[in-house]
Amino acid sequence: MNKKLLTISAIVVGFILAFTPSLMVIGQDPIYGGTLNTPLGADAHALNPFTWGTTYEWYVMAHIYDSLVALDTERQPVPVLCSGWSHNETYEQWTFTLVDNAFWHDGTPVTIDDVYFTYDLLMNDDAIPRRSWLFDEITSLEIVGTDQIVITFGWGPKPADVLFDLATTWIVPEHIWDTIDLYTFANDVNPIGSGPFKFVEWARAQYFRLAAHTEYHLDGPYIDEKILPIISEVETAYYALSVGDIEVMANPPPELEAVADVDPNIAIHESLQDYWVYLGLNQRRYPNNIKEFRQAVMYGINRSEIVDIIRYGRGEVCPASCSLPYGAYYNPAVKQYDYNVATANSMLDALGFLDNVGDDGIREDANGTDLSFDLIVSADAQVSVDTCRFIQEYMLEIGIEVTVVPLIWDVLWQTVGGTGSVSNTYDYDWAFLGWVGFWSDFHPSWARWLFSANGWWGSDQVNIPGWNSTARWEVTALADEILYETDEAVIQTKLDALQVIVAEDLPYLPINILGGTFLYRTDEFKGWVLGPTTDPDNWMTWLAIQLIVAPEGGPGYLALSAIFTLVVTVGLVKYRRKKQ
Amino acid sequence: MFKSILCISGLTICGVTIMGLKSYIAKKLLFAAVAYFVAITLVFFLYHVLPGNPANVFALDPRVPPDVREALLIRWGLNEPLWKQYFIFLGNLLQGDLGYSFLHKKPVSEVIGVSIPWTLLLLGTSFILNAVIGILLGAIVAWRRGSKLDTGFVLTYNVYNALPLFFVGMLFIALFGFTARINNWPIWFPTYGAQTPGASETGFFSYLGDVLWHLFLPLLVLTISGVLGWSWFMRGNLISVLTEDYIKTARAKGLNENQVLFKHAFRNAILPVITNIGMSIGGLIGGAVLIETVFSYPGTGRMLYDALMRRDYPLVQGAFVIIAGLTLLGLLLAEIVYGFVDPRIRTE
Repeated sequence: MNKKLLTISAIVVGFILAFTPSLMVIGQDPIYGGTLNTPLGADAHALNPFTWGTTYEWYVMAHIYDSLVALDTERQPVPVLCSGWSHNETYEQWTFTLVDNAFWHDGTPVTIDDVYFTYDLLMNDDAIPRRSWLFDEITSLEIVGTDQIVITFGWGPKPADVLFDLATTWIVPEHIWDTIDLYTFANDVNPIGSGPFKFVEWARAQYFRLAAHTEYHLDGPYIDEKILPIISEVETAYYALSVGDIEVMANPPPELEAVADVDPNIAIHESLQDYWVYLGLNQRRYPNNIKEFRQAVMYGINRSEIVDIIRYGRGEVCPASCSLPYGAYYNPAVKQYDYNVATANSMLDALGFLDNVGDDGIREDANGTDLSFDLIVSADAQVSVDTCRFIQEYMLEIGIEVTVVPLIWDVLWQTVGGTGSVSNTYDYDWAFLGWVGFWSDFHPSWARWLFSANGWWGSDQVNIPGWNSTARWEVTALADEILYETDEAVIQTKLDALQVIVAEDLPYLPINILGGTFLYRTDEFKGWVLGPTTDPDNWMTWLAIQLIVAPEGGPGYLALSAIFTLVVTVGLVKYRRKKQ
Repeated sequence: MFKSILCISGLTICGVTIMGLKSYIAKKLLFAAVAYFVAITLVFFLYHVLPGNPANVFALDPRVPPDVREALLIRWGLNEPLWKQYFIFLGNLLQGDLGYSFLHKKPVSEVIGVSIPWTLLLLGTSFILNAVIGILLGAIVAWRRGSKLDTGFVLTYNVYNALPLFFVGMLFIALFGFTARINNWPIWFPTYGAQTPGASETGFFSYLGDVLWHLFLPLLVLTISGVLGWSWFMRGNLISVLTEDYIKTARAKGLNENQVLFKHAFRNAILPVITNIGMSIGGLIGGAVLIETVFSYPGTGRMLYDALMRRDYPLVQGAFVIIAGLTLLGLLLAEIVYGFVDPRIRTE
């Protein structure tokens, strides 16, 4: 009898334990459930994939919408709504095959017609703000069979260009978007996408609530819900992280980062951003148009100190080639400009810029005019103003007088020519600005965007630094050749050459690449996917992240039942023995 | 005194006085209308002549070329001459249409309508507490001038006033939101937001409790500051009034201290406070940007700041139309109340 009772109870206990998630060995099976809280720094305005304005809007929509492909944390393309892609030898014709198990959040299947609708919309309306340049180059779109779309370009853009831009082009459901005016559609009540999270609620200026898309065609998400509270102050976000209200935050104040360092439940991840800041010397003016003068200024700036002090060690010094130093297209063998006051001074001496008049420590040019420049900078960014103050001090050491002039952003942008309109004045000596979104390590065509006189930002209409030396035309030729080149080895060679020219001629004086510091909690969730240029809160994390301990309730109850059964059985057995 | 009050309450026994008050109110209404027109016109033109435009939100994206930004400006009607835009704005306003927000892609009234309840909850509550407690406290400390209470009040006012409001907010968050929580104090408060996500689905009283719990810290910071400010103002007025000859006369007549304080001194000291109350009504909609930002509290202040920065002209104009209107309305009401409270106004 005792044996029988024990056997039955052991089976019951074993059965319960086997199906109790909280007692499973972590890592063996996924644990479902839980709410991940990741903050937004400010509220969104609307959730329109075609006209979004801020990165906050983009971030929310990235949960809701999917594209054909996505970029992983190493920025390599991975299929999302497509099961695969192919192209012909000249890259002119691309074929994407749609997955057969994707659904919109309203339960409707995602079809190849939705893909065609989205791309056709973008191809035929060049006034859509959030639209890739790629759609200008498409000559035809064609649906083949029930699950393939063939995109034909007028020439063959490189895979990185095509896949990057399609990765940032969300597919929208035709049955919703075909009847609305996309320019006026706020899409804030019930945005329907096919992404890993469904929209639940948007409490304006407070939070977004998103629920896991249970019919999602890829593995994950394992969490039930994602909440995006809007927390404006970084200190407040830090407190929220410390007490476990949120699970991740970006760029904590440095003094609090040190505090977080000793918290065993908080991990730190550092990454580099596609955002570098530069000193722009207006080369429409003398002596900024002298290459050696620009080089001397570059030698005179202690860029490492700027990174260490102003940026608290986050990020790194930007190569003079303006190329991000962490990708395949980076050429490390370009001219470096390590801080060297002696070199800077001797170069300025050689140019004849000496302090001949008075004894004020400021050099004069050939006309006897002081080397004195206004340095305009955005007043909105205190860290930029601080950097300019450092530059001001560095320049004094080499006999150049700099006056820092903070301006509101719109005035600054118009002054330097950024808007490309006739209202631009170009009335400035030096400017402190930044570039974002070129991904030089990923796109072989990045240089054309920035430097080519035939590209927009390097064109005569913009050309912020007023670059017009012979080097500009050499770089333009190289950049244009790279755009149409298909041989990867040739591309690499040309990009290497281009970087050497840029580093030598210095159209921009790059200061530093911005770095990101992220804090994330490791005591509740596992599966954070980290990358050298991404934060822990990325698309891959959303799909992979899981609770470390199963949620209370069901599993806890089961475990308790098992223990209770065991205790009762042992008690009964002991009682029987005693009685016998 | 009573006769005067009866007169302005509409009784016909002193028709001349009624006519005086009517013309006084009519004059004030006319001034208010002119001031309102000037205010909204100034806001419209000053804001439009600032550099920048709403399409600048795309300015740094290398994939949004200037011709696309230009097309957006045309779509939004910003390519029209400024005077034409102004008359369109006025025309719409006369029809009760505040315009359409470029960024939110919604009518301005809807955008403002979402944030106003939260602002009114925070600032309205604070306003009432500030006015009631502030006036009473000011009267008490003025009446007991030189006492320990008065000295303590002056000291507190100066210390608190020396601290920027956002700093006090951060301090309270650190203390009552963070330290209290990690040290397991019996009570702590949320550090951000106006409600817990999903709280509205938990039942009315539970939701109400959650909202009040979130409201507590920002309200406390605003109320301490407001109460001290109003008390200081009231204290100054009352101290000044208490030195007047008619107070000495009242005392000489043998009136007791309560009668002197409430019937003579308080009534005169409160006149400038009424004006201030009127002027503050517009600020209720303008919001408290700093406090809303520090506590990540939803409100018109943050919304308006964002709209200002991003050149969402219709939203900014719409908000100012309401703020200017309410400020003028508040002032008008204050002036009218003045007419009731101060007999000199009517006789003049």
